[in-house]
Parts: sequence; C-alpha cells; structure tokens
Amino acid sequence: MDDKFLVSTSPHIRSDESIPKIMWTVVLALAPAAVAGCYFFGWPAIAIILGSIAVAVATEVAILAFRKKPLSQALDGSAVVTGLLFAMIISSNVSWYLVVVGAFFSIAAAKHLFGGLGCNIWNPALAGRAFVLTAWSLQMTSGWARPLDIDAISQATPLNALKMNVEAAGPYSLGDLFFGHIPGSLGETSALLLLIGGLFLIVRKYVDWRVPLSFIATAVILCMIIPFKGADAGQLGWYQDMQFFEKLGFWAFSGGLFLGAFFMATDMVTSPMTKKGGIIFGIGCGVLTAVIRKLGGYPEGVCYSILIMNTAVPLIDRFTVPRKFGYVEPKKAS
Amino acid sequence: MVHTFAGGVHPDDSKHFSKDKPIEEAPVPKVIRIPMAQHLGAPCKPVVQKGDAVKKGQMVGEAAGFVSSPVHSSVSGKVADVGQYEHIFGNPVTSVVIENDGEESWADGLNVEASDVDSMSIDDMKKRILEAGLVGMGGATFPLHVKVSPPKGKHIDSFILNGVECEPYLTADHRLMLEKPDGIIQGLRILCKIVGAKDKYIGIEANKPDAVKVMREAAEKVDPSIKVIELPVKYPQGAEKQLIKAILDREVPSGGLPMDVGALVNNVGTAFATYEAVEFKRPLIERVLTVTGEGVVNPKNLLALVGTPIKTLLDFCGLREKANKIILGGPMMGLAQYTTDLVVIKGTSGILVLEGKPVGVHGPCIRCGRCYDACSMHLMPSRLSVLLENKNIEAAQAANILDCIECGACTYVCPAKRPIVQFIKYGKGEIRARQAKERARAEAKKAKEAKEEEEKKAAV
Repeated sequence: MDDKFLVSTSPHIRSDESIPKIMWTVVLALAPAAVAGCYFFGWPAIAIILGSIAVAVATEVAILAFRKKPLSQALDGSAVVTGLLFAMIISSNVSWYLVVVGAFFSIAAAKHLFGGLGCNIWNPALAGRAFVLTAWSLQMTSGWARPLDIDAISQATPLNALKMNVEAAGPYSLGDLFFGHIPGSLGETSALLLLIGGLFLIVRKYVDWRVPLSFIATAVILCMIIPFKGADAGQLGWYQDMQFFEKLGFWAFSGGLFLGAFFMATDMVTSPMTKKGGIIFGIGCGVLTAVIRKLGGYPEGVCYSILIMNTAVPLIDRFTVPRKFGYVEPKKAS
Repeated sequence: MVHTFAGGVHPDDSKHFSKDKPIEEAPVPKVIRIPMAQHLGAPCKPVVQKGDAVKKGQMVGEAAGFVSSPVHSSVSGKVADVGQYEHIFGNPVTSVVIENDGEESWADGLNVEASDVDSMSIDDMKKRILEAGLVGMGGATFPLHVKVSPPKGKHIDSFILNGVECEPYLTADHRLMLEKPDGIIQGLRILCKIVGAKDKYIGIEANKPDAVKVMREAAEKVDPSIKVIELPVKYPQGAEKQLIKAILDREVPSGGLPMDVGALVNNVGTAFATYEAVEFKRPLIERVLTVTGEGVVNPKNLLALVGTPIKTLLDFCGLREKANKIILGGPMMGLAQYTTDLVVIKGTSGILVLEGKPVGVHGPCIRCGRCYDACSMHLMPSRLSVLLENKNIEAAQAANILDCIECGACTYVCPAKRPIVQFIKYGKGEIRARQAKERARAEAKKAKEAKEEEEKKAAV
C-alpha cells in the first residue's frame, strides 16, 4: 500500500439508499397496476405506457444535454416514474400526439423549467395531465376507454356516470370497482393492485402511511356527507341500491383516488418534509377531492386537489417546523 | 419506560472485527512524541528543552490557563527535539520528541500505593485530577478538572458514565468495561463525591449485553445505588445531550451545557483514568484504543502509550493491500488523515482503516425528509444544506445551525449523498468568524470611546 490516503470529511460510511433505488422501487410498485391496465385496455395501453416513458426519458436526455449536465442523471429513474405515471392517468383511447406532448410537457416544463429534480413545485405527471386536459379538453372528457370485454354503448367512468346520471352505464359492483373492471384512466382502475403497490412502498419506508390514510379517509367521509349539487346527480339505481359500506367502497375505489393517494400525494419532492405536514397535506387533498367530486364541475377531483395542495406545501413546511431541542426563552441582553 | 431519544440512525455496527479481542499491550515505541495540544482549550507550553532527561509521568507541557491540561511523558528517556510536528487537524503543533531509554523509571511521587479515597478531601482529589492532565477520553478531550468544578449555582444531581460507544467499529470502551469494571466504578464514585451527585448512572448500549452484566455485578458489590441502564442501539446514543435525554429525560438547553440541567457525563475510560490518577497518582499517559476496519489484517484492542507513533500500531496490526483510508476516531465523526506520521494522543479512541472509494458528486435534495427523521437535535438538515449551498448564512443561523452536534446521521442517510455535515461545518465556521469580527469591532469601538473620554477629560 503506497503512502497516498483518501481524505474526506466525516461521516465515512453511508447508508445504501440512493435516488435511483428510490425511483426504480416506485416503478416496481406501479408495475402491477400498469400491467393490469394493459390487460384491461389492450394494445393501446401498452403503446401509451411505452411511448410516454420513451418521450419522457428522451426529453430528459435532451434537456440535460442542453443544460450541460451529466447525462447519467437521466438514468436515475425519475423520468421513467414521471412517464409511467403520466401514462397511467390518461385514457387509453387518446391520440398519440396527446401522449407525446403531455409527456414532453411533464418533463420539460413541470420539472426542468423549475430547475430539475428536487426543484419542482408541482407533481410533473399531474401537471402534464392538467395541461393536456386544458389543451384537448374534448378528447380528455368525452370518451373514456372501457375494458375490452365490456360491451357497453356508454363510455362513462363510474364517477362520471353517477354525476351526469348516465343511465346506460353500469351497473358496477363493489368487486368491479375494487379489481378495476371499469372504464377509467389506464392505470387508475385497479384499486387492489394500487393498494398492494402502495403497501409495498409503505413497508419499504418510501411512503409515510399517514398521507394516503388521511387523504383517502377524508375524501371518502366527505364524499358520503356532502350532497351532490344538482337534482340529477347521484340518482343511478345501482348506486342507490348499494349498502352503506358498499358506498364507502364506491367513493374509495372510483376514479384516481388510490393512485393519487399512494403515488402522487406521496411524491417526495412535491409533498411536505415532516410527518405532521404530510397529514395536513393529505387532509387538504381529501377535502378538495370531495368538494370537486360533489360540488365542482368535474366528476373527479384528485388531480386538481393534489396540484392545489402542492402549491400550499411551502406554507405547510413553514408551519410544521420541528420542535427545537432544549428550547429556552431568549434572554434579553441587559 | 424505553430510554431513548427522538431521531437517530442505525448503521451496521461492524464491531465483530474486534469486540471479542481482549486488550493487548501495544508494542513499546523507541521514540515518542507528545503534542502540546491534546485537549480543548489553550495548548500547553513546553517546560523541557532539547537534551533534558525526563522520567515516566513527568510533566513536559504545563497548562496555559484554566481551561487547559498539562501533558506528560509516557516513557523515561531524553528529549530529542521540541518543534512543530504533524497533528490530527492538519495544522502543525509544538511537540516534544523523546527517545525511550527503556528503563520505565517513574518520576518521584508518582505511581504510588493506593490512597484511601474515602478520607481524601475534595480539593486534594481535584488537585490530583488537574496534575494528572485528565481530559474527556470519549473524544472531545474537555479538561476534567474544569468539568468537575461547575460554577456556583449549578447543582449537579446526576452523574452519567458513558459506556455507549455508539460509533460503529470501535470496541475499546466495551473491552475496558469487561476487563476493568472495578476501576471504572471506583472512578465513578470519586467523580460523584467531588461534584456531590446523588444519582449515579452508567449507560450501555444493548449490543454489549456482556458488559451490562459485568458492570451491574461490579456496581452492586460496591454501591447498589448505581443504576446500569441498557439503552436501545441507535446512533448517536453516546452523544452527551442524547444520553441525558434518554436516561434522565431532560433536554440540555440550546447553547447550554449538561450542568444547566443538573447532570454531568463522562466516558468510562475517563472514569478509569480518574481512578488511576486519584488513587495511584498516575498521569494520563496511556489509553485503550481499537485498531480496526476492513483494511486491517489483525484488528485489535490495544493499551497504548500516549505518544506512540500511529505507524507502529498499524505495522503491529498489519494493513491490507486495498487499505487507503486512515481515520482517527469512528466512521461517523472521525478525522480522515493524509499521513501516518501522527501519534496516539489522549483522545485517540480508535484507528479505523477502510478500503474506501472516492466521494462522488452529490445530487440535489429530493426533499425525502430522511434527514429530518435522523436529526436528534430536531433540526432541518436538508434546509440547512440548501441554504449553505447558496451561502445564505443568516438564514442558516436563524434555522438553529449552531445547535448541530455534527454527528453525521443526516449525511449517512441522505439518498442524494449530499455532504450535509460538511455544509454545516462550513456555515458554523462562517458564523463564528463573523462573531469574532463583530466582537473585535465592538472592543475596538469601546477602546476608542474610552480613549476619547480620557482626552476630553484631559482637555478640560
């Protein structure tokens, strides 16, 4: 051994956590629900998932090159997570250009315009969906893809059907809602597989259980309590016939609640730093989701509720600063 | 009640390398070097010069002020040189080089028969502690005679011995507790008698169940009121403030000291050295340390003389081919060295040799919050690291950066591998430099005003 030693500051050991490990574990947790989406919705779903991921990664590589940053950062998995999440929150029957533009927007505008990884305020995938919803609102709201084996004329999601009183849609049982055999975005339908993925992340300590719990509980309770606005909404027979706990299940498993609660509200960059902050965040998202679902213009409120709460995160962080150790009232200098 | 503190991390304890190796005597060096700076406070002034003959235990550097501690020769021989030599912080320090004559002849009045501690006065005991050059041996090296002389008004009701050794790899305290429990207990009794503490505790982490058993038995023989507390394994349980929080459930105030909550903490090694100094008038000239790590062929716990060249100990234990990082201390807070031309000093608890990899480029903060969970001082490490990355010193000070104990838990756990503790050390340094400049400016202003007053009076 020659006399040259490695010198660095303490600590000299590190845990084996890393950004790629976190990102790829999230991809693994999303995989079951993504595969289910491909099973329910067929080839278009597969194409959209692969295409969205490809565009996201390509955009990341291009922008990193433009910003003269090391391209190896594109391999950290964060672009793949954004691409996959974006694919999972759109319907599988949208046009290809919508997927390309949305994935591009998620990475280029919602992430890199703010400074790149760690600097964005809004969840990139949700920001991409909001952009696409505004730019192509007709495509995004008028026709949801339905699972390949449902032979229905109407293409309304359960939430859409209930709000707009679409009689031809359904009936949807609790089982349909839980397993995902319903129209909807290609990754949001299977509550079961999203729950499994979410629990996996909680066990691995990548997700704090308080956030999805407070989000889902608040949303479901308020959805049960707040009445629908308008006389037509909420009148569908198969909904009215549901038992109390079945209705709880309806509000929990419909729409993007599980996907949002387990995978979007828990995104590290755009959620509060502390556990207390996370609970406030989850409750806020739940309140807004229920308000939009019952009183607002859209049938589903998860996307916007998370985006609005993302905006409140710096404020939440400021008010949930950890208690100082050994705090003593400062003495006034005499 | 579970005795613990909020926060902390769980690194691999890596103690299997050396925890079952009994303490061995390190090879006696032919030449030793005694640095004048082995403690917190003012460095010593040498009191010998080239050519002087010295005896074992003779003082070669006198304390410079109250917060200082004398240093002694650990061998008998001749002074070969007094000059500037390499030191652990990278700045050269005045050191006394002594050639060992091999006689091991003690200075007069030292290494005496055991004195009766129960009949000694407190002042006598404190005098022996000062003369023996005792400092905290856990690593901070605070002069012991200062620590056991709290100012009037600070009543100490609890004394805690720190047998936690929470740093991975190190096992010196563990072996000392297994092999010399009676001396440690006696040291605790001496320290408690001096400060008048009624409640006596010994904190030991649960990864040392044999030490817990041995210390409990030794304590019961002599003083059943001594409570040996087994603590859950978590880094940094051995940090003073965290230990007081876990055992007494009291929080040392920000900017304050343990005596502000009626407690004092000392390492078990310090307690043992106290016993040796007060009963046998032996100055602090040797200590137990661990030479360990993946880069060592034969990890050992060694009883080494202060002043022994590190190279001697590394040759004794053998280094592997890929060993390339020498750390004095543990892996979480130890100092990496660029040379082995150093010596064992009073605070050397371990020599860690690792097969290290160069530090890579760190990533951006992804706001995962793991550092918040790890910080046992309830700070916001990620926010501090971002503020200091952008050189915002004022905001960092407002975010309580000065409370940081630099334990490294936040940096250990960060997925982006951000050097958070390094940022904080930079920030603290900046703040202290600014505070020093402010103080100098205030004093210069006061001096100028006083001078103007004088001139006004003279003119009248």
